[in-house]
Amino acid sequence: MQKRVQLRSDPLRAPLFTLDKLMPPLLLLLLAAGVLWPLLHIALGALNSGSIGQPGSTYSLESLKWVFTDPGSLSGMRNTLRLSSLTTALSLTMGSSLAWFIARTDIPFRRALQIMVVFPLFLSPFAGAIAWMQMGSAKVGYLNIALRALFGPNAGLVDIFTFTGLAWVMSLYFVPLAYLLVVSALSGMDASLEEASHIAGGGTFTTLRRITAPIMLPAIIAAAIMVFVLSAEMFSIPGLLGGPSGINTMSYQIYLSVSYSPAKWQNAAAISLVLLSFMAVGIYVYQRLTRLSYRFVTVGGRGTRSNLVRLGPLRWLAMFVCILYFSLAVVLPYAAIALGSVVRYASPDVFKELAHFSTSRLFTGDVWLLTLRSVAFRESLWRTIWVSLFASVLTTMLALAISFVLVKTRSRLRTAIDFLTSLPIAIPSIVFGVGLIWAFIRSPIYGTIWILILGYVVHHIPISLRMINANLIQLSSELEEAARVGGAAPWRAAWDILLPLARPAILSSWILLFIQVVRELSMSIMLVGSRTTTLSVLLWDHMEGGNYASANVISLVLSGIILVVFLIASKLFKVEMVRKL
Amino acid sequence: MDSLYPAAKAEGALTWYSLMGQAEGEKVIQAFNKRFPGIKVNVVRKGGQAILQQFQQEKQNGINNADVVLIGGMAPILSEFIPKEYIIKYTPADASAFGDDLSVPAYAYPMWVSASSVCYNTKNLTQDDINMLKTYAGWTDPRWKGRIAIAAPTGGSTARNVLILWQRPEFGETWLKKIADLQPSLFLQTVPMAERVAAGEFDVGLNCSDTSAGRLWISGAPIGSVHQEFSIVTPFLLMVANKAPHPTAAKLWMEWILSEEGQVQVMQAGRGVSVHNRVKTPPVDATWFEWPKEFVSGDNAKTYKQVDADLPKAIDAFSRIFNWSR
Repeated sequence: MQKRVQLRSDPLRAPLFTLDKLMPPLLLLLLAAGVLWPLLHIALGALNSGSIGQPGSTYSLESLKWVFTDPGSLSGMRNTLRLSSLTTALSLTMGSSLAWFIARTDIPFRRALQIMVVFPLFLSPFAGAIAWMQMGSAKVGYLNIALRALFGPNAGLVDIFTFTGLAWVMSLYFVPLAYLLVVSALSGMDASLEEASHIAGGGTFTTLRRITAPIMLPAIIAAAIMVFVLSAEMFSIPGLLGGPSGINTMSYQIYLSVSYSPAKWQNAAAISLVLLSFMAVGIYVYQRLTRLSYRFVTVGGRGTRSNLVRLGPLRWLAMFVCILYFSLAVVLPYAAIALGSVVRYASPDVFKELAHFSTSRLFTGDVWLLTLRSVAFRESLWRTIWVSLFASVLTTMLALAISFVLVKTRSRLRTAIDFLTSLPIAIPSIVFGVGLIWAFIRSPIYGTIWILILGYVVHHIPISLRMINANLIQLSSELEEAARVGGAAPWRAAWDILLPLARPAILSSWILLFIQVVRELSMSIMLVGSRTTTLSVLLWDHMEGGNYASANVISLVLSGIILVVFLIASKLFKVEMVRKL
Repeated sequence: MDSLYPAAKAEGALTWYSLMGQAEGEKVIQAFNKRFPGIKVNVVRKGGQAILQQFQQEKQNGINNADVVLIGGMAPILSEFIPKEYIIKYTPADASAFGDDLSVPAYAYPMWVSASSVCYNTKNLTQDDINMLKTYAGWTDPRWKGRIAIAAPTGGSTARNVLILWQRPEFGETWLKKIADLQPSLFLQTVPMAERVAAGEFDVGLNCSDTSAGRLWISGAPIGSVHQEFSIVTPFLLMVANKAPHPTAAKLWMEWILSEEGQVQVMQAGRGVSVHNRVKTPPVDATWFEWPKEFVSGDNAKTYKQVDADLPKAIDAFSRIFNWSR
């Protein structure tokens, strides 16, 4: 007698609701709620005549008119564009140069320099701003004190409270991004044209000028656009250094609009809408240019990798330039912060006092004791660690699920899901914070840790997705199909086969997200309540309140957390954080 | 006070909306918890008017997070909080120790008052310079060009200082323009400004307060402060929110802060000026401290409507004259 073999995939008996069928619509709903709902409220807020919940407010174009006609608002736009332009020029110049040195020359200690150049990406730019404020103020900054001691009373060069000073500090923290964007294009470049130039008698710099640079131009322009839009949305550095100099940027104006009475949430929403539009256009142009540059640099097919450019004795100069950048972005700032954490008050005589340390009354360990013992600090520290852990794990799991749907299924909802997960890239953090407030002020999550977690998860999905997607795409479907043929359900195949193979990407994503959330300020500052203050917001609070010594202590602790995680990632989990970027 | 403790302890916590400095606030809370253990004080701390706007916004949206609120100035209380029932009537035991001029009787009482002053770097100024700062006219002297900072009118006291001087015909916009011509750097709060003055970045900080200078002076910084021919006084008022999640704990907090014991702790924590009639300690134990010759109220029950009407105009004038975009 023939026995009918029942296959699990028998369509006549397939269950109606399975995880792989439910997941796409569920993800779409979650993303719509998390991304579109706050965005919608920003638009509605910008069309409101009053603040959130203000009685008697109606729909009106007043705020949108205000943002384009008010002199203060227009000044904010001009400052943002100018500052971003200068920051982009500085960081692209430095970043491209470092990328060429490291990717294309025989610079010594390449691997170490690669890590040094990228390392500031993991640190808090706000901590850097605090450091530069102490180093670079015109009369009493440490750098100027040292310069005057060495070269005479007129020798102070640095004034951080100027446009150039502000752009300088911002560019230091955008150099790693510029470097990564350019170095990936340089690494993929077809080297045969450079080789042909050398064969024809072209020297190193002639080849660089006439061959490499023109080929790299689309990639550099794309990198410039990315740095431009990201620097335009930055809040922490312009907030700290721009305010006293009267250089208000759009992101800082959003913060000011809602931080003083009477709060003008409608103005904050209008500025947010303009900044958001600007970011969206920039990201779109960047993505188009990236596709163009990809075709451009691989014209001629994938040639063999050339020998590295031999710089001769100049390679030591190149190495020095890399180390100089690292010193300016990491070493000096953290030395300044460390010094600032052990003084009773800021003083222009700090180096003289340091020379007489044992008898000086300027130095004290009290600030460390008071800060570390303070209830606010301990609660914020604990909260920051567990919220960052939770949010990063949740984001990674969500990104994994989304990636699975995008890469491994044929769901009709993939395009919509892909679009929604890309959208947060274009939303400035502070703008997203404004949107979340408008959207959820009357909900139970307002003022709780959950609105923070929602913001972190939604805003960081694109980063995680990018890393996991890149990994999943490379994994052949044969192994999963074999599991399915063997009778495993799709989720089982994913769990047993896909997950272990995607482990490196999952770990990298989790660790990178943890670092990003730990140092996040712009969105957090809009969303925190009495029981939800994070370490970076506490740091901002101390700075705003003039408690610079405590702020220095917190900066060091924050940076210490990031460093420990970075080391755990690379030593324990063997995750190559730099290459993964 | 003691009769409230068991019920307050049962509530277990209170949320205090405050503009007091982080470090100072923690000292006060520690002193409170030493006296009344088991009541966690959660602080929503924001500077200047930010805490006012957060409380207003939440009440407008029906959110009842706050138990006790601390703001600078009376106008918002009289014009909005009482008519809209954002706060409740509560008269602490020591209410009569505070003058009616600096309280909103039955509703809000001064945790401390701020008296306007100028702070200066003691290493960089001569006695002649200091004497120059003892009059408002002296603030406009050309010697200060490039050497001064000024606190913008973002806080309860800084805003009222600007308002009173803007309103007075002998000062007004002409006087503000003369100061603007000296190219001062702007600060949003007095404490960071005083810190930069103590560091030597600026020689003088206008629109400051004794307490901002005092807390730095205690740590040994070279800073002093002087009052002018009259000093503008702004009370920082404590009140119990309506529909407070922890009403008994809120009342206990108010009782203790406004008691003689609490007032001494407040001053020792942050060196504010207490107007409790049994607390006589000056805000700063410094050789340069002198009591103001005359006090002028920043706002009170008689002037609050005018304050409400004029304050936005004064802030706009300041913004225009100092090219400060908010």
